Amino acid sequence: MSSAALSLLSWPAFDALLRGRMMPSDRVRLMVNWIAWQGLCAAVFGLSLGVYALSSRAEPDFRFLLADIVKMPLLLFFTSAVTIPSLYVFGALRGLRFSAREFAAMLMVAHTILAAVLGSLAPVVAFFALTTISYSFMVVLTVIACTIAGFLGVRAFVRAMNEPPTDILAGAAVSADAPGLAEDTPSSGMFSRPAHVDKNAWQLLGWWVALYIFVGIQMGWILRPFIGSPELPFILFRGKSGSMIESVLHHIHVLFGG
Amino acid sequence: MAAARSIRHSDSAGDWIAAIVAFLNAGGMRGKEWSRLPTHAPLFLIVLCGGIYGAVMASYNGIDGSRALMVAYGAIKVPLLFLATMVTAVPCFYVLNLLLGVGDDLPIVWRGLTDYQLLVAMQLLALAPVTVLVNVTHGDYRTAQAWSTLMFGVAGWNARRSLQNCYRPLIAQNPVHARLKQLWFLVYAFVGVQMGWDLRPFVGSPEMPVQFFREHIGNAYLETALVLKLFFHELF
Repeated sequence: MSSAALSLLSWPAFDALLRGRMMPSDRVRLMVNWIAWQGLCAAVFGLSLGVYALSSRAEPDFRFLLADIVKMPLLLFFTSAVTIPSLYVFGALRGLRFSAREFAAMLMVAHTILAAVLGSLAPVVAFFALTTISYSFMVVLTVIACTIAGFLGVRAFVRAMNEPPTDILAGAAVSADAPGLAEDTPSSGMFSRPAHVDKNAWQLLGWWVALYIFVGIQMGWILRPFIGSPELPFILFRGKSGSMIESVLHHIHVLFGG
Repeated sequence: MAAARSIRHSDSAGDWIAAIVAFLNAGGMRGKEWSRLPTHAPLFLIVLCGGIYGAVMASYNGIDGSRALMVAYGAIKVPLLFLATMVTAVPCFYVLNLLLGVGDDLPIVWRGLTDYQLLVAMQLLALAPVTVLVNVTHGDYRTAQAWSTLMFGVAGWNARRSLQNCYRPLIAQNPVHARLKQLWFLVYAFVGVQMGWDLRPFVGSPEMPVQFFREHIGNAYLETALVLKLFFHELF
């Protein structure tokens, strides 16, 4: 990759990541790029959520929009900060041979992909936010968008884990077919265990992904409101009452005839 | 000079006709004939065909006085419906193509999506005379509205073959394209239905003022669900 690609928001690096053409070494080396891209894409999604506060209220409230632009990237950064230590410690204990930087880079890559999907869904969300009054519809639409993005982010993370650690790649680099190794390695199934990963370690990864999803949901709940119920005034954080599952089920109920 | 210009003009018109005929004969796929046309030719035809159908749709209650404005709105809003739906739905589809490892096929896919939209617009243009006939012979607002909605449905459903033709070799190469094609229709329909709802009136009720947008926009899905709920409530 050229030196120009090292700029903070390098499009070639971002494009290569989305196309699945990122070498493990680049993944670590360009970590700052991933942080910048995920921040930008998450902010764009936050902007689309904030549109609802402009269209659903008698007086458009720009504070939601500004808060969402900041809170969406924070949601990803805080989730990373909370889950990386457990990923590294438990991963190392169970024999996943990646360094702390590699683990962090994998999570940043997964979050960049997650944020890219959210950013790409921003026009759809903003469009509905602009034209829909129903708060429940917006909540359910946002949850669907986040679920799709989360699924693709986790998939990217699992795929990154499927690749052999850099020391194996470095060893294989001596052989003639080394350049194709990163592409050939992923196993057939979307979430199936690769041959070089121990079964116990793989199970641990499954538990960690569950933990990550739990933290992500809880972090999103703590940082709410993102959409902002039209009946409630602006507030930066709503506090600890209720739960996201309960809230989402309530809005689904309202949407389907409640 | 004038004769030469006339010949060139005639050749150019011939190129357009040849390209359109070949496009229709190929089941809605642009062939090599289109290389002789400007690159923006598909966009121009989508706007032109959609605009003409929009004007026809909006002319059901006459074209004099304030209704002329409605006709102009119709001519603007149908191309706007097509283009705004594409602009809203394409980004997530683009990213999903990249993430699922088929980013290199995107130029072919993009061509297929454009062909689909072009075929929808051309079919609507072909159906415009029938719509004029229905509007003239019935004159009822509900009939005009239902007829035009039906024509959009027929054109959209028929044009799916164009996208299928584009996707057939891609699916043979990589089956993930089959899922992406389904996903495109899902996203396109999801956004398109709401976009159509937002941009109404297209036909324009004679009892309501001529407006570009209705004051109450609302959500197409929730409003439909409400109507169905009331319908079944009355039924049982």
